[in-house]
Amino acid sequence: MASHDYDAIIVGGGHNGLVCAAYLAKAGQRVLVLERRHVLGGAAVSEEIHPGFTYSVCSYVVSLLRPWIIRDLELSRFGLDLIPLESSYLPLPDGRDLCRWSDGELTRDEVSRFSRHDAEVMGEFSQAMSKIGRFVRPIIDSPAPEPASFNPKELMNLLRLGRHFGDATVDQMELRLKLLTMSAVDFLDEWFESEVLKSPMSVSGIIGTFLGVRSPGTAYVLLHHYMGEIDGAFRSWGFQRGGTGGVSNAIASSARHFGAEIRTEASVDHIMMQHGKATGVVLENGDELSAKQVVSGCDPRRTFFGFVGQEHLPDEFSQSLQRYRFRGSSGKVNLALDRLPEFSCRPGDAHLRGDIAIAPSIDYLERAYDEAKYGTFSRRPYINVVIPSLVDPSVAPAGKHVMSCFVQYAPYDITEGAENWPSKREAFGETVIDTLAEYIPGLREMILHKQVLTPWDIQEEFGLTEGNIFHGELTLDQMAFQRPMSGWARYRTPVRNLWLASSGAHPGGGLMGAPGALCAKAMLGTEGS
Amino acid sequence: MATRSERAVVLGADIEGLAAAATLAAAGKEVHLFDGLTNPGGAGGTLEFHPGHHVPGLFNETALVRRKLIAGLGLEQLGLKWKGRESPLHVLRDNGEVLTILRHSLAGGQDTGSYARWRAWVDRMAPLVCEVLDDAPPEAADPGVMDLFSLARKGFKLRTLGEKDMMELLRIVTMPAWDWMEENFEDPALRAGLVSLTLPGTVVGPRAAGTTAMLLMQEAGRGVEPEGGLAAVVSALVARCDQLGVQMQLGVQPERIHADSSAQPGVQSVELSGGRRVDAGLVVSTLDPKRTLLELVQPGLIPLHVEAEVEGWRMRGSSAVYLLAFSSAIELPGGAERLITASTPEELERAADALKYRQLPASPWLDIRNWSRESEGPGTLSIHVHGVPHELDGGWTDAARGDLRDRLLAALETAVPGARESLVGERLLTPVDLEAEFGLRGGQLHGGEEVLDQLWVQRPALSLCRYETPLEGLFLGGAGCHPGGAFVGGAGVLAARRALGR
Ligand SMILES: Cc1cc2nc3c(=O)[nH]c(=O)nc-3n(C[C@H](O)[C@H](O)[C@H](O)COP(=O)(O)OP(=O)(O)OC[C@H]3O[C@@H](n4cnc5c(N)ncnc54)[C@H](O)[C@@H]3O)c2cc1C
Repeated sequence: MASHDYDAIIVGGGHNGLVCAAYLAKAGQRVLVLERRHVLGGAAVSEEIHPGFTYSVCSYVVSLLRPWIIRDLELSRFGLDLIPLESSYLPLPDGRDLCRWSDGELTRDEVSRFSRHDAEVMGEFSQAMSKIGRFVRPIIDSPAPEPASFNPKELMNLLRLGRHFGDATVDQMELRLKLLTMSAVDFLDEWFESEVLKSPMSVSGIIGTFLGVRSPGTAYVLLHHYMGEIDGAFRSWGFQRGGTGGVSNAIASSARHFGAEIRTEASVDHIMMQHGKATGVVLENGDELSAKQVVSGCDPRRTFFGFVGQEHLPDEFSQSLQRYRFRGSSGKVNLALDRLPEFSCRPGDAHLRGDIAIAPSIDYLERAYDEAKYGTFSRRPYINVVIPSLVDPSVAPAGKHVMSCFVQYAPYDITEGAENWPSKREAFGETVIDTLAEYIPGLREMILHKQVLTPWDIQEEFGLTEGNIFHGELTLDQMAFQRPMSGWARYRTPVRNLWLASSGAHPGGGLMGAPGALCAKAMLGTEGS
Repeated sequence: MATRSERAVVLGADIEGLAAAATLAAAGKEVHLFDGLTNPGGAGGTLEFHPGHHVPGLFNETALVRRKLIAGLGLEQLGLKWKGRESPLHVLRDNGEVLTILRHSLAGGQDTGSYARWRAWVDRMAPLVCEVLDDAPPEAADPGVMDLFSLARKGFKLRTLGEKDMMELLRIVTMPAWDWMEENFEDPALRAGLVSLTLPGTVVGPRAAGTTAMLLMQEAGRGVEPEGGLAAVVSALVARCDQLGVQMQLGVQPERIHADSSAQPGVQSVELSGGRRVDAGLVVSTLDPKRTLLELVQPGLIPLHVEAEVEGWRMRGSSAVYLLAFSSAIELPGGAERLITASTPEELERAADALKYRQLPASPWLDIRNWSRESEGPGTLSIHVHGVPHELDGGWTDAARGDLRDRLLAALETAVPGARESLVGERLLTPVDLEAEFGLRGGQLHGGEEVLDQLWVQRPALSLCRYETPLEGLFLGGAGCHPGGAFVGGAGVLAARRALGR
């Protein structure tokens, strides 16, 4: 038996690859991480694209980074420093606006300007959702149930009707079923009357999918807002001080501390195979590195069709993977501004320290979606804006600001063909700026630099197939035991000694770290702990 | 005279109500059936819309009748006949050619191989799907041991499918039908034809998640059509009810369902228009859940959380029905009995988009049923149009009706050139008309939207899915209950059986 250079080689230094590496290293393995780009973090990265301004290029708020990972990897010690978002602001074209604060009392006052009824039920709504959130949280903290070994108990767990049945009331069951099957809009309609509240809330259901807010199954993601460790609307979202890349860097430092080796600008060409087993990797520069186990921190398509090749895969597996849907639907615009932008609806900056949503009505969101369905980017898109420099001055020179704009819908498949996105980039960026300028007079004059990422750019630069921000649509049929496909939802792959640790595995995309950690646990045989 | 406990009242003379009444009467109850409408069968009954021109019910889809459930009612002895073969679906392509879809063959299309493979899979699902359609949903709401057990049994049945099929079933049910069709077929006309059938009861288009569930239920649950359309089922049911001594009074509105005021209230009587009261210990209502529980039941008897569930029941209509009379028999392209004029899923999606903005579809697609051949008078077409909102922006003015009519006639002219020339009579039923004339709230043809969160155990709510209500002796049994309005003859029988304690 030939000796191996490493116990495990991890392809891709995204945050999940790094988390996986840290866990393996902590368990005493010799680990190497190979990252194609010059910086670590993948979609969780900070870069100084314009001198003095640090952009969180892709991912801009830290949502569900698992607390147990933070503890296990001692991330606070290595630089993790999260600043909670305190508000969520919605300006409207007619000059009205709504700010929801982490302080429930303040929010109630704001909401009661639109609807007394809504202000009254808000508290009840948060409570109900937080309760359900507690039942659902174990789903993202443990491997997906395997219905292959189907027995009634597993079925119950699958539907989450069983395990906690004893302590769940009928109402909660009802709520849970509804969340799984309803559209975000229909679900919110049952609680609230004011669109001003419903419209920005409904949007969380469509992030990273090619669905509209009226599509069934989009209610579920609403829960994510209520799954934070502290019950309350916005506490579970935060900025990393210095930019999102700081999270990845903290994980990388932890991994190195535990003994992992990390190389950047080391692009993997393919995975070496022998007798149907993965034995290591070959870099683009021709270097060969061997390992007992190979872990991919890249998305499933890149991993299996890119690094392994269909000739090494069972036909049925390849067919399933062909059907796994990516079809990215979002883009990003990062701006360097020479001063703090002011929204005409409300002067001052207290309400700008959290996130800002351009989502004035449900019809607006649906129109944005319709345009994407028929092959163009939305003329008036949903935009989620943050100005992290307001709460973290380290990311911009004094008095100046960075503004990050997450934009949906920007469909990967445009009528002209995805490869023609570069010729649309400028127009796409202008659309975003025009949209924002309707709320921020003079925005255009403040811009010192802009960076525009189309789905094509997200694919080409960051390696996310079809620009899907989550490594595959997060829809019901691609979640849990079906991520990336049923039978292979537990990080193993049909290629022996090859593992999948990325957002393309359960529990999916976002800055969670859970796929990476759960993959490492599966490899180490410590799933229960 | 029967005692109160031997007497049952059925509210609603639609097919579900008639089937419930016959089921109860056959079990020895003294049954009284009331409906404010005067036409037995409601939207399923015969309708003369122009002198000499009838349609056998408003529905173009008649092959989803739950034949197994109504089999026990002996309708065949009363003359009900089933067609000897399945009825094809025709899809009109832009170039005028026609695709013919049959269960086991495809004519005029290129997807023959993939269609056969897909159909074989659907056929394998059919026993399970039919079992689900023809049975009351398991009780999931009550955290008792028995219910866990019954859900688990369903799980076991899933298991008997074989692992691969089961996983595939779990994968597809929540998918948009758009995606499922795209995975399987090249031909947009085939995709459009199959998907079009799932939309009438919804306000969504094929890109909405979960539309696959309805598509699968329909394709796996489809049988042969009754001869003479749903109206033939209605006549047989009426005859059977007669035979069994059901006392049917139409044109009589139920006004209130009365109960005693004990801690566990039970049904006492039903009050009718004109002040008459009928004492009964059992009431099966096939009127919609909102009407029954929020309007008819004496206030204060339904727990608040159940009331809230029922308020959340969505019944937005999405279709208009356009009935046309011609001076001579009309021939549809390809000799079709039922023709879908959408040749791509995108046309379906665009029409559904209009609903969101409370507009009329710019270019509506038609689901045309040619009743000319069914000896229903010369030249009779029934056209269903999806994408027509109940809450039209600006209201259903004469101008709006005229506008819709023009668009429909233009679409018809494209599909059947020259048809207009022999047009002698017509009746346009917008969702508002459907509501006014047939008591269909919101103009909803299927008793409640048929989308993922309103099916099976959630139809009409987790706590009501077993047909029982919080009021002892009151049962819901209409299209707003499982298996729903598309699957005619299901809910009425299942509710009556529950009411009889079976
Ligand atoms: C624009 C955008 C905005 C987002 N906003 C948020 C947000 O605000 N909050 C949130 O929680 N989530 C957000 N997300 C999602 C989140 O960022 C991702 O789901 C997550 O970062 C993915 O992490 P990962 O480790 O699984 O994969 P990735 O980050 O994709 O990591 C894969 C790594 O593999 C590397 N790689 C690719 N090919 C090779 C090769 N051949 N050799 C070596 N290395 C290779 C890539 O360079 C990359 O570093 C956003 C995503 C995008 C794109």
